[in-house]
Amino acid sequence: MLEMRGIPAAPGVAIGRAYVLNRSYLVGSQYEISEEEVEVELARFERAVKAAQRQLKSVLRRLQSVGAGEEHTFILEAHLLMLQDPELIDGVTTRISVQHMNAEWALRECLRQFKDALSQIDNEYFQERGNDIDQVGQRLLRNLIGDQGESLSHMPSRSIVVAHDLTPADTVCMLKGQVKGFVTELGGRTSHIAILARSMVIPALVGVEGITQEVSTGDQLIVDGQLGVVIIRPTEDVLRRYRAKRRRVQRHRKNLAGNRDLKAETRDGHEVVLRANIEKMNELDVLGEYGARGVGLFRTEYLFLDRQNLPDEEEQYRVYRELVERTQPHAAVIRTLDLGADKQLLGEGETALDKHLSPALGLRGIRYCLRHPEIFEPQLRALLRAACHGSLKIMVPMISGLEEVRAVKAVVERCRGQLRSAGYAIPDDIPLGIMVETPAAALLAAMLAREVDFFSIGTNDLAHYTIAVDRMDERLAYLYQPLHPAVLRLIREVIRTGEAEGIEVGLCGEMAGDPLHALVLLGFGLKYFSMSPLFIPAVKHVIRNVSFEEAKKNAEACVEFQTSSDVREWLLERYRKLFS
Amino acid sequence: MVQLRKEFTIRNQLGLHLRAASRLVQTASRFSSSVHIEVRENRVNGKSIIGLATLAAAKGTTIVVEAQGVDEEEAIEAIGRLIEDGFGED
Repeated sequence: MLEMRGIPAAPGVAIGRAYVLNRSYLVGSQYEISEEEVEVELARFERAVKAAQRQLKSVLRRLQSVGAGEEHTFILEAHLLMLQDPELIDGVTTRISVQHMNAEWALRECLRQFKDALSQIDNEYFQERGNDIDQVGQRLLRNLIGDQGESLSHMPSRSIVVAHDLTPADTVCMLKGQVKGFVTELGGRTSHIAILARSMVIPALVGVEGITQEVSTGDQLIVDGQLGVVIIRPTEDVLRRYRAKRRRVQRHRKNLAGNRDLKAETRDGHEVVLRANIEKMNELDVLGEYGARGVGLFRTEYLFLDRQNLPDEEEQYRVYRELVERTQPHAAVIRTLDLGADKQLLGEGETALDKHLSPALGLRGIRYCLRHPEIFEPQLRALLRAACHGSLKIMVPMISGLEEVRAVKAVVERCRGQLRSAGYAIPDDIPLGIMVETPAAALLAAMLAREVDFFSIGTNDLAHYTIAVDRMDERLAYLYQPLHPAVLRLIREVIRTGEAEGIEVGLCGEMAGDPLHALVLLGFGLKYFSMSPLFIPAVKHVIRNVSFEEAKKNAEACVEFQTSSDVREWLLERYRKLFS
Repeated sequence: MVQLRKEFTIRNQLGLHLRAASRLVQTASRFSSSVHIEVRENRVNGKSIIGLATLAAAKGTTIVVEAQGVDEEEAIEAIGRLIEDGFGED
């Protein structure tokens, strides 16, 4: 038995036989052709293009015949457009006839040029386009070389597919319900294939490096899409446990929506508050469904991105006002603009190509805002005005010391003064809090707690800066562990310090939405949890099924472990019944 | 021969993403005129999906459509309508 880990792409438990798709990455030969051979070579290329088009059209038709929606078929249409793209056709044709490259070489060079242009841009969208070009290129090469490679059409039904990578064309078999789950080596949470898995509700993992070397077709597999684990050739014991888990998951899904009106209270009466992390106004529609008690993080970046002009004070005021009115009687915590690292504004005269990726340690978050009062002040004024309509709390990101907090308070005062002069009545007691996401802030928690009204711990960035790992680098994904002893200690200290100083302490990182992690946070005394609304029912469920006293003891014990896997295993042991 | 140029503003939420670009290419390819799309200083062939894939045109961006040929007027009109309809997205 072998256990491997990856990135959960879609939740659920799948138990079945593996079907390993062996499709090697084709490169093709490279040689010079003579003048006489040019015509033949051009004809070869044309035939390959036509064959590829026929194949994709056939896949498209099959997808449409099983009623696949446009969200699944459009990618194939885009690939078809690539096959007739004049830039591609001309690029290859010229290389064959003028530079006397053979067709495979001409194609590779041409595609490389396109991919290079796209890979300069450090942005997921553009990288996905590079992958599309790659997939189209592979299909063309296959047709040129005459190696069709393996497809899923020969797969026995009800298999779990294991592959290096899966293309949109492979999805036709999945839509026909033949696939129980899949595991790939490439891919991230937001790739097309992960999105497809979630929409089809089949368990899936991506980013499981090396799995095609460890699994053979016919091996029994268990895919746990919730924990991000795949078990190869499980023992009878493990199999039994997972069959039970699968039953529980199915029952759970039916029950979950039912706990929305229940309190997030432990068996011994300790109550906490579960809030939602949102960034678009339409997400407010589902808050009630999931039982969120307010918004613990409203990300304002999305008001500013993807547009040419910035939102003015009036536009922002309308948005913030709607938000607080709709979350009544609960609170809405709004985070001021947090740009830089992975989100950036496109300035005048810039293309995405011109934008460098600001390092995570650069001019972002509150530093950017303090430097750009022409952006910061309208936002603050809009927030102050909206605060008249409900329980609005203002939160600032990326704080690393007291100077920043004081600078922010000074700007807030200035804005308050401007609004007063203009005749607005602004409440005196609008809570102003900070994200605790830098080690500096965590270590200075006591001093900071005396100058602000609340904390919200941003565990994603806090872990990132404390362990010193780049969240976006898939090679380092194994290091980025929320249960890392150093991170746990910092979190515990911040919660304790906030409590001691009498301020509200919340947490809005991904950790809060993971039931196992949430139990540790509960044990540390956290009162306000904020997470994607989808996770609220599951977290509420575990909270309602534990005792606070026990959670406290367990959390204390966790801090003594030396590695995150020790912590994790110990916790799973303790809470096995809740999660098995 | 003077080509025809017209400016439009991207309206839809996701901007000129892959789906929208596909529709633009499909529309432009119906006409015999040559079509070019300009966003800021970048100019690409409007019938090339790969070319359009390199453009970052978010909501609110000004986009210039240029066409040259016998049906240049119809080409610009059709593409312009597509853009102003937000590419048929919500």
